[in-house]
Amino acid sequence: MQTDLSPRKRRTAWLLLAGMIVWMTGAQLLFKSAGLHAHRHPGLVQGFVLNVAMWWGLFSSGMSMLCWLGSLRTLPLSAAYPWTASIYVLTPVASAFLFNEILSQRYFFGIALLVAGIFLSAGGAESNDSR
Amino acid sequence: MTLGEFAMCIAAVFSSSTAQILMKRASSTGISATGFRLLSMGIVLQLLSVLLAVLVLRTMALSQLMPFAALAYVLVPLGSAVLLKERLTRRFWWGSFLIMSGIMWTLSVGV
Repeated sequence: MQTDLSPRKRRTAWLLLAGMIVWMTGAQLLFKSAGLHAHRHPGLVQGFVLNVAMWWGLFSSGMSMLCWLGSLRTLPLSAAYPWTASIYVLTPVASAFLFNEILSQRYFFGIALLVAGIFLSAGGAESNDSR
Repeated sequence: MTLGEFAMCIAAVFSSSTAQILMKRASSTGISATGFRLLSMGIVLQLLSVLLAVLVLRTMALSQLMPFAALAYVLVPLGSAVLLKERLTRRFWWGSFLIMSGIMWTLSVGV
């Protein structure tokens, strides 16, 4: 599928995939920030409707979806899909820096199992087209 | 993690997984009233999932929520197999086994 494509198209597709990972990681961090805001400001209006972080999180999710669809126009799903696993590494690491969450080595062993599982199941992703 | 937080995490991932299956179904029905209805339901469920995630993240660490999100990698293909008659490979089952092991491991460890 990739062989007939120009290097520029391929580069754009990989950049879009990287964009999807960055936007999605950003969305998760913004949702955590939104949760902290809702904790400090109880009530539907203050906690949710006027929660700027939540709206930015939704925007970030939307951008991530657009990047994902854009990358899949060029890349096969089986090539792109395993890279989504990186979100499960980047997000906890970023949350440790931004929200002072403490991550143990044992926790990272569990994350490694998750990532391995996503990589393994990605082999059947192209034929299943299930995501 | 409290029982309420656990239930909200599970509800959030079920909601987003169902949303993905509905959107996939909507994309295969083309431009029609049914397709629009399925797409709308998918968007509502996706938003519900975000709302539940924000609710649970008021008190729970983000790194504790992340492994739950990976449950979608198991639920979406399973739902697609049951509802959309898609085929599941042996690699999927091995991958799912590792994903479930990873989720249970991180839950038992905590953060």
